[in-house]
Amino acid sequence: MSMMPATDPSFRTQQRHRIFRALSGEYFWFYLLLLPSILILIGVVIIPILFAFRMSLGNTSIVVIGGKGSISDTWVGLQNYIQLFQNSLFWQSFRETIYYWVVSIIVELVVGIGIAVLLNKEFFGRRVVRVIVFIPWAIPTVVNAMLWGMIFDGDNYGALNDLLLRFHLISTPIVWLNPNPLFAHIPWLSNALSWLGSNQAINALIVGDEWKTLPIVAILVLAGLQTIPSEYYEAAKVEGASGWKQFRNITLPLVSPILTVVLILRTMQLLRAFTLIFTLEQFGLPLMSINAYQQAFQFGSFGTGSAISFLIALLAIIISIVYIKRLYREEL
Amino acid sequence: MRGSENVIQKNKISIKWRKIGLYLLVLLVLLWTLAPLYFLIITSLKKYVGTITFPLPWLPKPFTWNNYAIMFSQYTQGSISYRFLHALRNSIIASGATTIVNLVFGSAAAYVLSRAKIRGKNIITMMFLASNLLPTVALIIPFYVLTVTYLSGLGLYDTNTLLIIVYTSFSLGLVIWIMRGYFDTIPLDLEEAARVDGASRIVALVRIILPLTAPGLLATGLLTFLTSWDNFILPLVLGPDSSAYNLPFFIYSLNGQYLHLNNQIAAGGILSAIPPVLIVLFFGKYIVSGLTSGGVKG
Repeated sequence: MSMMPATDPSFRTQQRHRIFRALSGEYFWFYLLLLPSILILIGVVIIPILFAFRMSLGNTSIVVIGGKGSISDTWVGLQNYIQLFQNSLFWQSFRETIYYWVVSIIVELVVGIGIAVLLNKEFFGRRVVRVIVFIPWAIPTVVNAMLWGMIFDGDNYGALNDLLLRFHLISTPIVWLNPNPLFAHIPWLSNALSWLGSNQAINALIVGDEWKTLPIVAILVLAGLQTIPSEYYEAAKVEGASGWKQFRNITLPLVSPILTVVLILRTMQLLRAFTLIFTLEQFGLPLMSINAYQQAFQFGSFGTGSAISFLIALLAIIISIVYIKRLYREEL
Repeated sequence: MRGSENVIQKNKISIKWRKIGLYLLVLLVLLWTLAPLYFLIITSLKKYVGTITFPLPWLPKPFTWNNYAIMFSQYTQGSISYRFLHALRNSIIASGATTIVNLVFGSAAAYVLSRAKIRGKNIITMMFLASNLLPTVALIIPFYVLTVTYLSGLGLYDTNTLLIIVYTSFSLGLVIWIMRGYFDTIPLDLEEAARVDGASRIVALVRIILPLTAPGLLATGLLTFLTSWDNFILPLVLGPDSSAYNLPFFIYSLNGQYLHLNNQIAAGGILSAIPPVLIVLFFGKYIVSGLTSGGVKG
């Protein structure tokens, strides 16, 4: 928008022309078609986020009886945020959130691309295998959580413990979903990993999450691989390029737009990650989203809950700006 | 001559080993995919005692169909089948309506953002997409407070309408982003030709452009449906006594505080997984092509 002074007469007519054009003819239709989505964006996303920010500046609590509630919020300014930043538990949950996201993404890209390359090779029954591999992605998250809860069950009848006990690989069942530190016998390593947010439970959760989400990554990358003409590889072979070099110089650059899509989709889901963690751990592994939910709906402290959820939103916005800039690199 | 024969021989052996390695890897991937599924299925066909004995039976023993049967029989207020069928109905209504709303509004907006010369339309698209990157919790807390306090007059609390409104905002950005990619691939000339023939913009949109974007509509529609079908946190916030609970919440609530009836949970889980699994089996390739051709430009 140009910053011309409003007194400039040519600007005023220009402005009037613009409004006229906006309300007449095809632009009327354009705006009418755009309107519902804009209203949803404003009403269900922007206003709630701003309202969350307002609540986070107060000692907000609400009393709900039969679906109607009264709100009380005493203005405390940035007090909620200051208290969070001074709380070491908050920073631990922040690091665990980042750990969960980064490790999941790395595993997904490495293993997902690996499976995609594998499924792109020629072997007997390839079509059937491609369909089967896709199935876990369709399993609802709660069902996936319950399933992995049964597999990681801490009693000896948990499926994983059952297998390990049966083959005498362990002598007592392991409570997989306990947030124990890893490598407890090497103190410095154990402390470093705990600080980074890694523990037994969070890694178990990542495994359970990957079972459901690896398929979509692998299948999308596979779709990208199939668009690469085989002549490229033949030419590379003639030039004597090794398998790794072909992968590095042909495969990766050509599937990279798809990888961006995958990153966006998965970040979307990972920062939202709530269902799996809540179902399996309740409040035992308080990643930021769990923490926000607990503060608001268990402790009734909507001010603190909103402050945490606003911080998650901020984190999500920063990450999405980085991705989306990558996506629209030429246009913005 | 000897030397080259040797090389060929070596190559043959290495190709053979490669084949074996390839099949081993494929087997590994299949095992990783199918073992948990197999475990879920046999658990759903066991009596309770078969889920808590060590070692676990590898076949559905002692066998029973009962875990499935109770989801449909003995229908009385508050019974398992009552809650299951109620949840099923809510899931179908909320997911179906969300899908329709999203497709209508989302593709309309995507069309405008692709065609109109509006300043900052990339920014608007970006904002829609970014709105879908926001964590659910960050939206649920303020939205819940708004519905029970300032907006309580609207009577949205604990209704399917509330679920539909909130779910719509969860995938609208994705729909707009993918559909805009589809509209961008349709040449302007096509639309202008229709309009020279006297069709208005809306008629041209509905008659000519929309059919061309049908794969995109199918893909985004199915994605929206799957996302909505999966939603859990909003019914959770509304609480166990709510009436707008869906299948994921029903399955979660099967998990008793003292008793984990794994066989019942597994049966309910499989029943609720059937619609999305069928979608992926039959329409999976449309979803994939929608995500890859719509989302990826050029």
